[in-house]
Amino acid sequence: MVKNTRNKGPARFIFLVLCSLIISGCGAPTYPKNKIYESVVSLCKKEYRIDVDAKVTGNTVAVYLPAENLFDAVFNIDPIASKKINDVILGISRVVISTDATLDFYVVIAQDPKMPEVEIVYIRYVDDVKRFLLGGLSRGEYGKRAVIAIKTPPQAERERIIKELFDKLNIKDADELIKGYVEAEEPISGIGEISYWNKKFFIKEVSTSEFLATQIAERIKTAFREDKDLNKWYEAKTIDGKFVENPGGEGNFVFTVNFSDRVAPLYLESGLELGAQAKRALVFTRLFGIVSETLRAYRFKDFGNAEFITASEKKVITKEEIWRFKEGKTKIEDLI
Amino acid sequence: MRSHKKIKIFFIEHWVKILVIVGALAVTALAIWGLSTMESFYRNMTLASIPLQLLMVALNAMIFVYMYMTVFRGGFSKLDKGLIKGDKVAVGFKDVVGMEESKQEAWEVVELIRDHRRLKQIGGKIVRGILMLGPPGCGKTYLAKAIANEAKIPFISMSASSFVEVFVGVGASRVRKVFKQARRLAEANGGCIVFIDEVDSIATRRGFSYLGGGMEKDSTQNQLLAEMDGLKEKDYNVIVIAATNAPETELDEALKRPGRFDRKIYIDKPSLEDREKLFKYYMAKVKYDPLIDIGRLARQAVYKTPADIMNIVKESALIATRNKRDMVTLKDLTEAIDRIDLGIKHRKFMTPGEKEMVAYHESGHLVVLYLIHPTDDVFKATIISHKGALGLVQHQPKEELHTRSKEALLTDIRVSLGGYVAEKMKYNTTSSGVSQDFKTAMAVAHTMVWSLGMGESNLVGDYGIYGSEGGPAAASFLAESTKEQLNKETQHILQNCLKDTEVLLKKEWNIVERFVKELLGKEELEYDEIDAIFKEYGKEHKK
Repeated sequence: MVKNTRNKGPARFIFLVLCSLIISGCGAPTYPKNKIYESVVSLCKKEYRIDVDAKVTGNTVAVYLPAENLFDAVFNIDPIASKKINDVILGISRVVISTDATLDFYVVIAQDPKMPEVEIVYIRYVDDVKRFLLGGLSRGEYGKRAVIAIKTPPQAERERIIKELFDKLNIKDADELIKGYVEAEEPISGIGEISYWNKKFFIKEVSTSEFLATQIAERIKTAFREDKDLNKWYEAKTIDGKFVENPGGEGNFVFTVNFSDRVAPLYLESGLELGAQAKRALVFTRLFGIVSETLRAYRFKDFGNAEFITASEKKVITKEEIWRFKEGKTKIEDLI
Repeated sequence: MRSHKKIKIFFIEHWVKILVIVGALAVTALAIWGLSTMESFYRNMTLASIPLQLLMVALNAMIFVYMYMTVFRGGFSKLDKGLIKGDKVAVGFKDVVGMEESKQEAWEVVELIRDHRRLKQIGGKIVRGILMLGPPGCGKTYLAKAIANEAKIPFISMSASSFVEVFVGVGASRVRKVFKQARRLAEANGGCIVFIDEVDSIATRRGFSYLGGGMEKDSTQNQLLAEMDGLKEKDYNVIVIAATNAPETELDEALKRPGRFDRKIYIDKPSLEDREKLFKYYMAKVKYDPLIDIGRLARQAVYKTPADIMNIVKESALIATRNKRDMVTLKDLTEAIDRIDLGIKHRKFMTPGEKEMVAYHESGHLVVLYLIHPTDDVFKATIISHKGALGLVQHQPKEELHTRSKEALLTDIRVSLGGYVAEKMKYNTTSSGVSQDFKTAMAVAHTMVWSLGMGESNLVGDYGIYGSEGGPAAASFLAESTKEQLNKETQHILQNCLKDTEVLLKKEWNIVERFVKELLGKEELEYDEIDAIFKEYGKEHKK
């Protein structure tokens, strides 16, 4: 018999190395679900030297960042504060992607402790972070998928109104009463009300539908600002997006798009004036396009219609029409 | 104390392995540690990308190897290893024509292979290797096949060049694979023949080069030596037959020693008798004119190998088919020989004057050659250009000669000068057509005087070693007077030969004129036509 004298050492070694690598991948998650709060706080403290507060509500984790001198005199974000915000975003991102907790969204609220009446609220979908890190999203698209708002905390607004009312009624020393009144409020109803006020989180579980509604509204605002054709003819006023649940069936997206005609086009290339119908087609082409692209990108199908309310009309299109429009099977003329 | 020494020796012997293993373990440990310190998402992401990375590395490596092989190595080629069952080889000893001595030696080998067991019982040792030496096309492969067929054992045939690769170690690995297969076959069938053709590409002397040149060849040869020795230890009935047309002196001594290539079989070009047999054998496979004198063909095919003869017959059959003949004629065979020896005819446009001068030139060669050459026969004279020559006279020795006498060499010079003399006698001037003739005549005369001691003085010895072979430094050892004398003698030989040729042609000028007329009319004259003309003048050769 011919003896097989082949050295099997290298093959065994490679096999062992591969096994070791695979086993090393079976380790526990870095940030366990029962320690999310501690993980976020200690990570920000240890790695970025930033003190933060955090709260987990269902599928959403919120982080409060006290950033001194958040805004400068002309209301621009201070670069040092901006870096802190980015560090916290990075920290919370690391936690939410390496945990076994079911976290779908994270919220970062940045406030200047000396001026808590203005805050920055940053909301992100955790899957977007993962997809971006795995190269599934471009940097530009990743930027568009964040919901960012600079606003006054609704609770602050409410407190101010009550305070003014008490002043008018000449009721003195009513601080405790006002505080109790504000804190006794009903839970917040929408993601627009997510806030931090008087060392307390006002937070709710973010749903994909309302997150998408807000994101789409943000995208529409951006389109009115950056789309050459839209910007030429129109000026956006208020744009709002919400998802209205329907107890009897699928919910609907409702977009309120208030814009006005420019007195004169911002610029004229050909010198030709667009007709009213053509302008209408232009607006709805962009609106339908943004909605269909965003919903398709998230593969979101749990809705019935999308409703667009402008100053002059209300347009409703069904989910099927949105998909057909996206696929180019339905023309804008057939929808409007 | 002893165990301490053992450990020390173990470390000295295996330090490279130990270093590699420790390094590999350290790198692996670091990799695992690095992974374990990563956050779970990044760790999983890294691990998930490993298969993709491996795939990409493999793909890149494949692309690199493909490009390298395509651009630098002339494409991919599998190891050309042909396994043939001995009884399926359709070549028997009866098919090996001629080479009786070689066949006899080969037959002995066959008997040894057949009686392997009996030989072992009486303590004899089986032949391990047979080296077949000889010029190309003489039937080495054919004989090896015949051995395999008669011995009825499997036959692995391959070319030695297919072992050698650009990567050192590939050839050795291929040798191992071939012998591994041969041993398995030998175990199953009682023996196996490994035939390595053109073995010189791995069997020439091993050497050392600072640039690493020849390393692959050397390592392949070393492996072949090891495998042949290995066979002896395990006693598998594997016989290696190697064939080469390189001189035996070029082969590495280690290969030639007993125990490796025990037997050497010399397969030379066929003799007149063998050529006749070969012509008969190959002609039997085609339809031919029964009037063809095969003996004459054999004479004409002096120094031709069996492969040449097979080619002549094959080519003649093609010519006959092209000329719409249903059998091969002497003309077809002659044309085939011409095509192989002289190349395809190429008619150049020549003025009548040029043509006549060429005819006189060739007739001069022809008459001198026919009348006084002691060893050669004229087979053809032509004024149609071949291979750049405007005309030529084809001649060959009547039989295989391995040495040339002084008289033959002098006649060679006279024949070379025949064209020059004929031109001069007719036109009282000469042409540039003599250039090659003069080179030949001068070279022969120079060699006779400088190297062969055939001059007319008492100077003997090979003065050539002081010339080109010894280099300029060696040439300076030769006295000027000696050089002068040698050169004078060279010229003396040339002058004497010139006079002899002039005398001969003057005497036989009417034959020259006759050949000129014939050549201008027919352009080509064959052996029989030439012989017939000389016969007219009572000058024919005795047969």
